[in-house]
Amino acid sequence: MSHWDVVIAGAGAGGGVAAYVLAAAGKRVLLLDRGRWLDFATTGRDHLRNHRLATYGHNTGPELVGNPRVFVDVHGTEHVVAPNSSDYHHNASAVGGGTVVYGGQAWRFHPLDFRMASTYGSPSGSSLEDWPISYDDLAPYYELAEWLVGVAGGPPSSQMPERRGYPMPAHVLHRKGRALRAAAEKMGWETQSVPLLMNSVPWDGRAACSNCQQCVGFACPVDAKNGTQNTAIRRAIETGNCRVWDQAVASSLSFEAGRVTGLRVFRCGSWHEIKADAVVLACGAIETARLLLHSRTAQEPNGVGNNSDQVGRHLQGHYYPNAFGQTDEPLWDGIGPGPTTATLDFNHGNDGVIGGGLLADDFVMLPIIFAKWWRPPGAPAWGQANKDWMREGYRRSLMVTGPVHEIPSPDSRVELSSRVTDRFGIPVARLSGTTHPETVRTAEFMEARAKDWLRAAGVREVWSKPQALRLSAGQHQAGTCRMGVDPATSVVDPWGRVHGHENLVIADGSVHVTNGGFNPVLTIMALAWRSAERLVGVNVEFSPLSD
Amino acid sequence: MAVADDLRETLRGALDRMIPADDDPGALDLDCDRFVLELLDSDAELAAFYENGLRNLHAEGFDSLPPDEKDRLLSELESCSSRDGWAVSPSAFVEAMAQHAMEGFYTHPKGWQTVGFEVTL
Repeated sequence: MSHWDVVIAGAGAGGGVAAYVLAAAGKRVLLLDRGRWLDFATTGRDHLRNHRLATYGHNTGPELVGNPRVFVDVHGTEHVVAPNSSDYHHNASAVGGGTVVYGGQAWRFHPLDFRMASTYGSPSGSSLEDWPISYDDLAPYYELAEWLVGVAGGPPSSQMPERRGYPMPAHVLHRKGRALRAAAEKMGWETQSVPLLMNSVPWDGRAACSNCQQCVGFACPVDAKNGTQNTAIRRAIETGNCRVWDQAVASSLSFEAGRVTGLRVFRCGSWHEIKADAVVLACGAIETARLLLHSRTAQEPNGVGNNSDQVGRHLQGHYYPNAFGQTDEPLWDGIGPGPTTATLDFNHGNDGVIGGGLLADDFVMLPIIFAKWWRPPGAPAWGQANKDWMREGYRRSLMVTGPVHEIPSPDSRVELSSRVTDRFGIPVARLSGTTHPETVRTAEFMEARAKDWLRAAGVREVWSKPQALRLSAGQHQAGTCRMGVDPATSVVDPWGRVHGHENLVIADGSVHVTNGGFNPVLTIMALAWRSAERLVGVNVEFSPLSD
Repeated sequence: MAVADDLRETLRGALDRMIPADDDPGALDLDCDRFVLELLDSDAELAAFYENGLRNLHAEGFDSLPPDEKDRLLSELESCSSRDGWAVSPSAFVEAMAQHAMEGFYTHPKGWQTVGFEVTL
């Protein structure tokens, strides 16, 4: 087997961007993913098997059989769960990872998102800490990611620092968005358009969004959704320096005298020892932690990077306090993808709670999701009255939602199961714990603001699902290999390198100290760029105009 | 097959009450019975659950009731977590039928039409 400069496990948001940066810097890169190359034709539009609603399966990997996890509920009972269970806390596996099927909201974190502990204090029992880097450290890399992968959007809210414009203008504003903008204005709230990693105009050799109604959870029928598979990874391959192996499962790191020398990989029916000068892990917060915990040496008997018992802890994602209601007149105009209008007025500075989050409208909702999730309390679950409600209500529905900045708990964690293994006999991830109770208080505050917004838009009766203490890594998993300067309380240094291993870099949401009050994918991409640059010691610029 | 022949009519009758036909199609018009049968074919545990629920519904004389009496019985069952003779929870059984009827109906393009969900591409 030949020797690579860098091998990357995980071809999602972080791994894809790292592959581009390293290949553009002249390194010979092998990019691995356990998933396959997927597109619209191979993923389809099954409303019951996708990444928005996975009742009977999903439209990416891994396969439902042979890839279980163990989930420990709030009563301490273990459940063996398949990838389409919400308790699996799944992230799509494919070349491109979740970016093949995501909604692609392209938010930068707020400057204060990097300074949560010093802004609010760290509540007892939580592991709320500041990041070791600031917004300003990441800003240039946010911009590079916005141009490499391709963002459409308008100017930032005054809550955010000034920045360069996006490569594409904002997507079409629909009637719901106009109603929400008018309502916000009435209340004195500032709004901005939702930045999306989707083409609003033809860009990068691909078409503009067709404004269809089946977006998040699905691949794009016109390839206007910018994932890493059709941008960063494509460009990495075009350098001639990057090879992609799909359906390649990395199990553990290899070592010589305590130094990382590569990865053990299963592909095409057999195991391979992949040798490389450096290894980048970008398997998502759950699988990256699992791989580290499964890689043991005499020096690190509890897993690589885990001598301080930090790997796998602080597992977090996002609470979504949804508020829902119906307008008197239908606002439906069928224009997708859907998120058009956000307020950042409540990301910080909220009396009596820690942090906050953005609020925005959402993707066009599938009728079956409306039927399953948005029936008001006490409304009939079946029969003529239910049918009447569906028929009358769907086109009058209005929803406001958004991710809440989590206050992490060290007891929310990934471990290796002691009794369940995957199809290769490798111990699977065991997920346990919940977020810190302060997250629930912040979520309740945000839910109240979401309801305010709907009422101002003329919705007379609003409702939402009650917030409850739970593990919330199912959307935007992060935090399990947190970044810090002190090896006693963190796993990687401010450049994504595992403490004590200068040639082992983590380039996914694992390194997030906290996960922001925003969708985190652009932060994952920006950090991957920054860490990959540091690994090779050269700056990699990008301009689509130089093509 | 996952459901005994003598219970097919009970299944159809119950699904018809979950989403009745009116000016728009109902559950049976959009083949929700076939949707449920296919589901049961791939899930033995669910098939046994349905078998018991349908058997009991049948035994309660459901098949020959007029529509409003069927609704009344289903409503009553919906409020009972247990009931003499039932091995499964009647409320869980009604809830499952409602969910599966929705899944068959509102993933069908003609079901989308009833709520005004239009697909342009």
